[in-house]
Amino acid sequence: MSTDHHSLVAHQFDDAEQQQEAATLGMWAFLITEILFFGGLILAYTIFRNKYPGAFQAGSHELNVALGGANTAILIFSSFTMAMAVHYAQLGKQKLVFWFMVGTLAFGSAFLGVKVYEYNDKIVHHHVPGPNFEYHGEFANEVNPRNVELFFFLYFAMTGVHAVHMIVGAGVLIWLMFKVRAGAFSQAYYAPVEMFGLYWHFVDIVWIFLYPLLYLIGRHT
Amino acid sequence: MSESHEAHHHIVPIPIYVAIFATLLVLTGVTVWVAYLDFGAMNIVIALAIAAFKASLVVLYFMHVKYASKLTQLASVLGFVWLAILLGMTSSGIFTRDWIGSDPGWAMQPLDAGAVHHDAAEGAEHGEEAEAPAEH
Amino acid sequence: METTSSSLPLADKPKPNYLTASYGIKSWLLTLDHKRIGILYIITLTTFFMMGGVYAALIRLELLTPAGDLLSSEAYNRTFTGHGVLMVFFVLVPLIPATMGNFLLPLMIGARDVAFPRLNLLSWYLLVIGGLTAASALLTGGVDTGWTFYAPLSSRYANGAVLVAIVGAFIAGFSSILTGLNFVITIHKMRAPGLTWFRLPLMVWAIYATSLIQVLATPVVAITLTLLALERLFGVGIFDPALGGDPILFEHMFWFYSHPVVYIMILPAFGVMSEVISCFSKKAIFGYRIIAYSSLAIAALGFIVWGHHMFVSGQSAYLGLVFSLLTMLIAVPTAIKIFGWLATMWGGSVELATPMLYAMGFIGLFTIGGLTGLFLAAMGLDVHVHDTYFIVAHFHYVMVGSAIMGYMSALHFWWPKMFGRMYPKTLAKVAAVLVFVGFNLTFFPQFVVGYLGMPRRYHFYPPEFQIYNVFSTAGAMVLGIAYLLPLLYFPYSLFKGEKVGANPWGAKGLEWETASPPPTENFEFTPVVTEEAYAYAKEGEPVVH
Repeated sequence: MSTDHHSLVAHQFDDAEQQQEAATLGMWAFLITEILFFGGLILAYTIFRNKYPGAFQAGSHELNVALGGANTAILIFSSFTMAMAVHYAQLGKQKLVFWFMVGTLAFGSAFLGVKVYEYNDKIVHHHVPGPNFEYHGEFANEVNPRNVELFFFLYFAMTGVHAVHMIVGAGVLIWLMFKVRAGAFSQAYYAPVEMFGLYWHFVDIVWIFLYPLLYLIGRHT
Repeated sequence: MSESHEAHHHIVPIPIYVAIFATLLVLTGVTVWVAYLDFGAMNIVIALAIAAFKASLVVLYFMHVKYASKLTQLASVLGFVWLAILLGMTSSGIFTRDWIGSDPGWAMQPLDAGAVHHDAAEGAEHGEEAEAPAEH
Repeated sequence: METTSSSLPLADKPKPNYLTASYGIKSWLLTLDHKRIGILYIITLTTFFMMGGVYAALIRLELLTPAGDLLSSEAYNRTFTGHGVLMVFFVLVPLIPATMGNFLLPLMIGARDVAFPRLNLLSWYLLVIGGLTAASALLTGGVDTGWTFYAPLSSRYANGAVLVAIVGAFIAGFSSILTGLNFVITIHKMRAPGLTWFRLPLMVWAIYATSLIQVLATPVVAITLTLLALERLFGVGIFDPALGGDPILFEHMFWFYSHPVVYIMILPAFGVMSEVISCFSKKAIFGYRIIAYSSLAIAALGFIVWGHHMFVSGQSAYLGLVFSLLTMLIAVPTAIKIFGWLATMWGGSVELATPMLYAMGFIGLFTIGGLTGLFLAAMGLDVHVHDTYFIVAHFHYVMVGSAIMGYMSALHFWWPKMFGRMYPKTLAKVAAVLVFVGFNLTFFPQFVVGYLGMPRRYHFYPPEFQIYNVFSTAGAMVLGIAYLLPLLYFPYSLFKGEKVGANPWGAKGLEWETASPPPTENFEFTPVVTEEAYAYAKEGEPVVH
C-alpha cells in the first residue's frame, strides 16, 4: 500500500500522514480567515441593528420567511449528503461518493435557484440599495427609508458573499466529481474530498446564522 | 503506518449523521417557531443560541472536530474567539460613547429619526474636537 | 522518516545549488522553491521601497521651506498617500516574513520546502498584481485620503483613484493571508525530527506569531475595504454619517487590522535580533523561553489595543480608558525582549560585524520608538500630540528605525548564505553607521517640532518650525545615500564578492549546516536535531573566540 500512493505524497512531505495533517490544519486556518471575513459584516450588522431597530424590523418583514426557511433546510440536506460523501470516501466506495456529490450539487443549485428568485423579487420591489431604492412597507410611517436601505445593503452584502462562496463551492465540487470518476481517490488518499467537505459545512454554518439574523427580526409583532 | 492513518480518521457511524441531520432540521423549525413568540429582548438571544447549537453540531460531527486532534479543535475555536474580540470591543465602544456628559456631536440616535441627516453631517467635521474637552 | 535521505547520489562535480539548478526567466517565474520565491520577493519589495522613497524625497523637499512652493496642497496629499500606501501595504507588511521568512523558514526547521509551495508562489503573484494595481492608481490621478482611507473622506469626498488603490490593497491582503497560513502550517507540521518547539530558533517563534496575526487580522481589513468600495460605488451609508452610517465603525474595523499590522512588521525584526545578537556575542540567548512566549504575548495583546489610534475620534471615552491601559501592558513583553538581548550581549564576545551594527542600532531606535509609544498610550498626552509630527516621528522610529533596520541586519547576516559570497565589509559598516546617523537626524527633530505643534499632512508650516525641517531634510539625504550604498555593493558582491563556506559567521542553526548557497532540496539528508538552539557556550562558562 505504501508504494502505490507514495507518488501522491508531494516532495516536501515525508509521508501521507504528514501531508494529510498539514492539509487539514491548512483548511482550518483558511476557515478562520473566512470567519473573520464574515465577521466584519456581522459587526456592521450588530452596530446598525442596535442603532436602527425599527428599520431592521421593517426590512426583515419584506423578506420571505418560508423561502429563507426552505433554503436553510435545503442547505442542511446538502451538508448531510456531503458528510455522507466524505464518509464513503473514507471507506473507499467511489460510486457512492460520486452520487452523494451529485446530491450535494443538486441541493446547492436548488439553494442558489431560490436565492435568484428572492433577489429578483427585491429588484422588482425596488429594494436594491442605490438611487432606485424605495420602501412603502407596513412600517413606512415609522422608519427612515434610508435606514431600511442600510438593512438591505447588509442583506445583499451578507447573502451575496455567501452566494459567491456557494458558487465557488459548486465549481470545485464539479471538478472533484470529475476526479472521482477518473479514479483519483482511494481509501488511502481522499484528502481533497475531505477538505472540500469542511468548506461546504462552513458555508452551511454561515447560513445557519444568517437566516435568523436577516429573516426573523421582530416577527412576533 | 496504515494503523496510525486509520486512527486519525475516525469513521462516524451513519446513524449519528442521520441523527444530527434530523436534529438540524427540527431546530430550524424551532427557530422559526420561537421567532413568532414574544420574548422581548430575549428573542435574538434565543435565536442565536439555537444557531450556535446547530453550528456546534455541524462542527463537531459533520466536520469531525469531536474526533480530531487537539490542534484542530483549537483551530476550530480560534476564529470565533477572535470574532468575539472584534464584536465585543467595538460594540462596547460604540454603545457607550454617548454615556459621557458632553454631547460628542453625533451620538447614537435611539430612534430612526430623520434628524440623522443634519446632525451626523455636522458631527463628522466637529467630532474630533468634541471628545477632547470631555477628558479634562 | 529518515528513509528518504540516503538515496541521493553523491556527485563528483560540484553539486548544483538552488541558483544553478536551472536557468532562464521561466525557471524563476514558475519556481516552487521557497528560496527562489524569497529572492523574487526581495527584488519586488526593493522596487516598491524605491518608489516609496521617491515620494518620501518629494515630501522632504517640499517641507524644506515653510511655504507650500514645490507641490500644491492637492499634489502634496497625493504624495504622502502614495508614500504611505506603498510603504505600509507593499513594503513593510511583507518585508521580513516574505523575504527572509520564505528563504529561511524551511532551512531553519530542517524541511525541504514550505507546506504548500504553489500557494507560496501564488502569494508572490498576488503581491505583484496588488502592487501594480495600487501603483497604477497612484500614478494615474493619485489618491488623497492618506494610507488609512478614512471614511467618509474616502467614500464620498476624495476624487482620486481611490477604488483602484483599495483593490490593490485588497489583493495584497490576500497575499499576506496566504503567506501567514502557509508558514503556520509549515512550522506546525514540517519540523525536522528532534526539533521540538523549544529548540526552534527564536526567529521561527517570531515568524509563527507574525503569521498568526496575518491570518487573524487581514480578513477584517479585506471586508472593510470591500464595504468601503461598495459605499463609494452605490452611495449607501455604512460609514458616511450623512447617510445614516457610522465613521467610527470604519476606524474600529480598520485599526482592528492596522494596529496588529505594526506587529506583523516588528515581530520578525525581533526574531532577527535574537539570531544576530546571540551569534555576534557568541553566547546563548538570555531567557530563551520568555522571549519565545513574549512573541506570542505581543501577537495576542496586539489585537486588543487598536483603540489607541482613536482617542480623539469620538470613540467612547470609557473604552478609551481600557485601550489606554491595555496599550501600556504591551510594553511588558516588549521590554522583556530588549532586556533579553542586552543580557545576551553582557559578558559575551561582541563582534561589531555589519549585521550586529544594524542590530545595535535597532535596539537604540526601537527603545525610543517604543517608549514614545507609551507616551501616546496615555490618553491625556495623546490628545495634545495627536496628528502632529510627534506621531510621525514615533511610528517612523518603529517602522523604519526598527523594522527596516531589522531587515537590513537580516539581509547582511544571511546574504552569504543566500549567494555564497560576502559583500565588502567595510563599505557595509559605513552604510550601517550612515543609516543610524541619517535616521536620527531625520526623525528626532520631528519629535521636537511635533511637540511644539506642527501638524502632519500639510505642505506649509509657520516659519519658526523651519530649522527642524531643514535638519529633517538634511538627514533624509544622508539616509537616502545610506540606503543606496547596499544597492551598489550587494549586486557587486554577487560577482566579485569573496566566496564563503557554509558558515562564515560561526553561527548556530540548521540553515548554517547546509551549503552556501543551499541545494534545491535544502539538505542532503533530513537533519536530526539533538541540541538546544544557540548552543554557543553555556551560561557562566568562559567564552573562547
